[in-house]
Amino acid sequence: MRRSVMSFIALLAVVIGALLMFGGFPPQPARQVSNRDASAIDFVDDKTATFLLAAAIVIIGIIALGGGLATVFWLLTRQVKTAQALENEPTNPLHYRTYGHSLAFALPIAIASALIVLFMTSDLLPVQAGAEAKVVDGMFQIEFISIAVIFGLVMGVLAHALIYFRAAPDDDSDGKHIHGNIPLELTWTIIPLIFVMGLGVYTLIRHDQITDKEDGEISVKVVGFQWGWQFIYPTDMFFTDEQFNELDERQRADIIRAGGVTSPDLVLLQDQTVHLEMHSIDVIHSFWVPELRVKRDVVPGIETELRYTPTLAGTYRVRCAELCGLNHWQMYADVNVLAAGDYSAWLERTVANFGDPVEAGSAIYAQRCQTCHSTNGDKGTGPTWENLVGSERNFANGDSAIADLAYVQQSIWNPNAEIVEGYAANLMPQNFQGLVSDLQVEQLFAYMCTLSDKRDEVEDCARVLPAEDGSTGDDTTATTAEDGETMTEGETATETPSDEGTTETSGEAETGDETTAPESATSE
Amino acid sequence: MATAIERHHAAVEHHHDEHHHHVIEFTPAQRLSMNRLGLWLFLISETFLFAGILVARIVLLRDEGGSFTRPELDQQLGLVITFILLLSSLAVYMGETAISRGEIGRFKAGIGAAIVMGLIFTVGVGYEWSIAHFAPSDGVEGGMFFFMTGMHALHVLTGIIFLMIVYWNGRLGNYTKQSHWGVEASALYWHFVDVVWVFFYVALYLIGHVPEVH
Amino acid sequence: MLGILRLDVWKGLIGGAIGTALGVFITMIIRSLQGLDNTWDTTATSPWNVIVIPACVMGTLGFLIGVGSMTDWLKWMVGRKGSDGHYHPKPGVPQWHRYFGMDTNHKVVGIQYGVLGIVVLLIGGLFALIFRTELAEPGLQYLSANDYNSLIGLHGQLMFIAVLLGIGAMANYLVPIMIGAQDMAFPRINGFAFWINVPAAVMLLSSIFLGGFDTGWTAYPPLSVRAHLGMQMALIAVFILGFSSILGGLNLIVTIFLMRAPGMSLFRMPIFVWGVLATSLLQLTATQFIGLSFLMVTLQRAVDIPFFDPARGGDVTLYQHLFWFYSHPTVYIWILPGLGIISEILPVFARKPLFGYPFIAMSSMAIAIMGYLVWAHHMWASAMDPFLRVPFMMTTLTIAVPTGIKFFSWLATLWEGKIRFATPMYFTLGAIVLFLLGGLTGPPSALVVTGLHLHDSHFVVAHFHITVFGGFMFTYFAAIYYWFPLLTGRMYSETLGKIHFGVMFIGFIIFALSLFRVGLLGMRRRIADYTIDFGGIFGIEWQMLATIGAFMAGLGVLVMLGNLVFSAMYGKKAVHNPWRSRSLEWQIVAPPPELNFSALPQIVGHPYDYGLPGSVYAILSPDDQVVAEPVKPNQITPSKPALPAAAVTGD
Repeated sequence: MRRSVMSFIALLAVVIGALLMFGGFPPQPARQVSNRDASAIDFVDDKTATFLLAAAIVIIGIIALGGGLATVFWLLTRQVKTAQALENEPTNPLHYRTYGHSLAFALPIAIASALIVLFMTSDLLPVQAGAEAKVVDGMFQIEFISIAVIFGLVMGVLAHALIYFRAAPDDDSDGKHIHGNIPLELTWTIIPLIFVMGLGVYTLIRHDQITDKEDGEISVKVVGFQWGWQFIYPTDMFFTDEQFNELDERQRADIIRAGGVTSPDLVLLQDQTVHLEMHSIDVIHSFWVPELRVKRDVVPGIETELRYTPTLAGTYRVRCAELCGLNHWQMYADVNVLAAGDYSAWLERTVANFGDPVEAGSAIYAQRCQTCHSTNGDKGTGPTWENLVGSERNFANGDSAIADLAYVQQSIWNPNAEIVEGYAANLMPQNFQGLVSDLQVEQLFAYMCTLSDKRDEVEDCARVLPAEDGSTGDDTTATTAEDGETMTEGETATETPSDEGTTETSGEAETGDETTAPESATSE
Repeated sequence: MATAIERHHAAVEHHHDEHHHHVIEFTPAQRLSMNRLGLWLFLISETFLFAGILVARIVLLRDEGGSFTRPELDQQLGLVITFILLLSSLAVYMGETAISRGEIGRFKAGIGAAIVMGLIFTVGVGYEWSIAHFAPSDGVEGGMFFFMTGMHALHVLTGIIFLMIVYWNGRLGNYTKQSHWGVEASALYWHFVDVVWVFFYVALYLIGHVPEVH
Repeated sequence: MLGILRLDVWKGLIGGAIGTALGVFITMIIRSLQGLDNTWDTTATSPWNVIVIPACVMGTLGFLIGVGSMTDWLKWMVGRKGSDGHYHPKPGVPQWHRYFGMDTNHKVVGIQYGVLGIVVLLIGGLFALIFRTELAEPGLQYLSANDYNSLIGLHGQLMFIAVLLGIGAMANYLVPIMIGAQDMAFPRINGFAFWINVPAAVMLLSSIFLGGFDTGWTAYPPLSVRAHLGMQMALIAVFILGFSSILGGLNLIVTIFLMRAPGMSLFRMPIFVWGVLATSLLQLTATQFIGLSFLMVTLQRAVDIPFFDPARGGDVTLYQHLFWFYSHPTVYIWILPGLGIISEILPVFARKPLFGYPFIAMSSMAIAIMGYLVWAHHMWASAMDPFLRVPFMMTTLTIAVPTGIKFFSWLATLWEGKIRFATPMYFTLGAIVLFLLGGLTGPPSALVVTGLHLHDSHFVVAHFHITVFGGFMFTYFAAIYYWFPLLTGRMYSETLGKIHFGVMFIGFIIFALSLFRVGLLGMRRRIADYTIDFGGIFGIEWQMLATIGAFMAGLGVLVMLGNLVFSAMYGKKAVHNPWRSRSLEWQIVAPPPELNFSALPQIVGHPYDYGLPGSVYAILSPDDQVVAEPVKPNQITPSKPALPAAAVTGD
């Protein structure tokens, strides 16, 4: 009897120890899990108490794990009952005592496991940043508890059987001749069947909850490509029809071609459901924000959809979750969930900076170029952009050229035309001519100019960069600086600046402008 | 399988091998039933292959509205080669019955005719390929056509090879009325290939409309 | 040792080389005559994507002809008589040469499968340790991203092959003896099916030198269409391997249905044979679908048929459906024999009947059939219509029921037994624990709501590793140790066996739990590097811990190999039927003679009637019975030696 108790405690310790190891050591939380405002378990509020309790249990668990394993192995090598002792035991055809022992083993293990898991669930998953995450975590909790209970029960019975029914070394007789038991078979077929079916039906209800259309949702398009993301917002989020018509012709063309206003980041309003409409332009990718839990593949040829209702403001990261080639592992984009005030500020800021070529260029860079081209001098798959503009480029075939706008445009649209020495052909995607418009090339070039010391030597830089007096990053200012440009653009330039939404946001504009300087709109 | 006891006790041929064990030979009936089961299992496996190809066709060859499309093909040619293939099955059947009666002459005629018809079928498919005004890479209608007829033709060619082997063996006198498993197997395989064609023919030539733009 | 040059496998390699060369040259000539380009490069659009197809086919045929696996068939084709299908020793040629050439004896083929399986396992395991070393710490220290992606893909494919080979080993060696037959139904097909695996493995490994492939073993298009030439080699290799699977399954089904000894009804077969039967039905039928899906990608690469190009009417989701229609049943192929091994070993070590034998047998069949209905649970996040998630989730959940029946039956088998322990029992119990954990971590992925978080995370990686280790690896090791005395007539070292178990079990648990943890926290799978900190325990990050666990498991395998090799040569002679099993294979002399039985045994009872006094399972002919020798003092036996076996009693 004492041996049974010891072995029971040992087994309990083993299982708990394993679970705790699985749960992890609280003092070294993952950086992502640092924000614990949202927790699945509400009854433990105090962080210090949580920590102390967890630490205590973990320490006990570790000691028990080691001790438990040692004890179990010791027990398995010791004699349990001699054949003689078994002979003298009263024969009870139903052996209730042994069933009782078994339950005494198994149930507490199961219950303890369930409690531990319940306690640890909040630490097992990333922070809950959305309404869907809450639903998913609720399901996880049910699953983990079920797993713990079933595992505990089965392991308990198994361990008990192995210890209690171990043969003595001198006993060569066989076990009891039991062929089967039909009622038992039926029980352990029907009960699991009901259980899993129940889980299934419950899941279907929850699934509808997280995929159904919500009131007030907005749709954002997502484009996945090797190896980045592009987000396309509805134009009317930023511009009224009037404002839209006042934009530059090339800007309007870009927006119409993209189907909306593009951005490398996904910016969401807290508590508003976003309906993502996604497709890929090359291979299969998958869109996943672990804090928001659910994911969906992003495939070519079919538009897939995903809904998120973020509830926790913060910055998260979307990562590609389907192997898509070389740089799959760093196919990231930022997801910013903003409270209402910050969100309207962002809207206004975007409109204000809309024409700024450097802003736009850096956004395109973040979406499409940064995987291979650095801005700090590091050599990557492609040449660094630091000090590229205005430098002399030496090509593999012996030619050379100064890097100006024409060169940059060719490098983007037709990369294999001239390969810089030290780099390989066929690495840069060949399809940018269809993806990056000439306006966007200029914007990239503007951004590249800001990275180069030699920008003052390059005429094109002066042309595309916003003027030094810091007028709004209207690209119209850039084009009007050149003499002989078409009058239409010049005309719009004189009209627009003060009509932009910039005047409203005088306090907010982030890139330190100086937004309202209408009279200098046509500066050189 | 209680009759197995009788069958095994009825095993007659014993011979000693080096390890002083008898090789317990199977009776011809046992051997035949094992061979037959093996062949049927193989055909079941092949059925899965062709079923998968049909599934691919059903999924891919559709227009935006969801109705079925098909490639533009020469219907007369299709009908003719189908008819020839079906006829070849009849010829194989005749050949098989002939050998089971020991009639070598009719056997050779039947198998020979089947070989010729099989070759005509293959040439017909090749001709259909050459006159098709689409390439395999043009679109799924074209692609599936070449894929399906190609996979089937591969099986027709192997079937023809089997028939040739069987013809040759028959000519050498290796078959008897009772023992001609090679003929039975090749015949069954040939019929199978034929049945597959019936499905493929319907799927490629008959079901769906030709899309307007590729 | 010049005899080594006379091995048939060299002829096979020469034949393979000639065939490959012929394939290459003939194709190049035909292409140049048509004005097509033949320049060498390893990109996705290289003309060599076309040229390798006939090269691989002819190379494989050349190898198979060279190694002698088609000799009889070729003779029959031209009307000549072949051999009688049995082994006849040639003067001066040692027995061990048989293992390096075409042989029709199921035991030789079984060992061939086993050895090749271990070799492939070691290579695949080595690749795993390489990329696990890379993954242990953030930052790309040793591998480029492309190398990493290729290694994980190759690891997957190689392990897939290693598992199939291991199953072939167990099934081929054991099934004929277990059912009282002298060999398989089609011995020549058996040998042929084995040798297919060698050129397939060579082709797969050659992909390393041809640019690798960055798609993982699942080879999803469009990425697999754009991958380097190595992808084409991997696709063709697996396609050819499929023939081995199909033919092997076919052979086993016919053998099991038509070659059982007199008196052996289906429900008097050893339970392992039921597992093999269910597995073989899956192998026979489902394999065609991976052949088909890989063939379609191969053709899109070579001839540009736009199956999976949406711009020309293709559908990427079609591939996933076709692929997973095979690849889900294949995981049941992997575990059904192993679960049969557990059911086989527990009664022997508990000395009790297998509880509910007919139900366990039927549960194997149920898992096989239902395994066909669940494939889309690999596609919850895919572009398929979300409505499909409903039926597939229900079917996936239902499969838990027959699996549960097995678990409960195992517990009931142990209950009130007289349990003894030895290395095979440790591995069996370890397998039960691991497979239980594996099975329990399935529903989080199967239930769509949580599955959408777990898909393509390390949680899934941990789940399938733990189920395969439980369902196949540990059971395979259990089988190796259990039947080692039969194969070799010697005993393995029990101490080394225990060490192997301990190191492997603990190492693997550490590996699996670490990956479960990071998967839940949002770490994706198949990433060469990671910049997010997922924490750790005791100052060790989870990925580092997983790597440590993986190395421990690898160490365990090496311990086992040392044990087996040493014991096969120098181990103590084992007593007859050391485990006192009632099964047929243990009643004959060990190692078994060429033809197993001189006369067919007569089956008169149930295989698992332990504890029933006077019960008899089989009556062997006097030539086959073994007179047990008295135990010598230094002989290793885990329990008392067997009683004289005039008949096998239930004592």
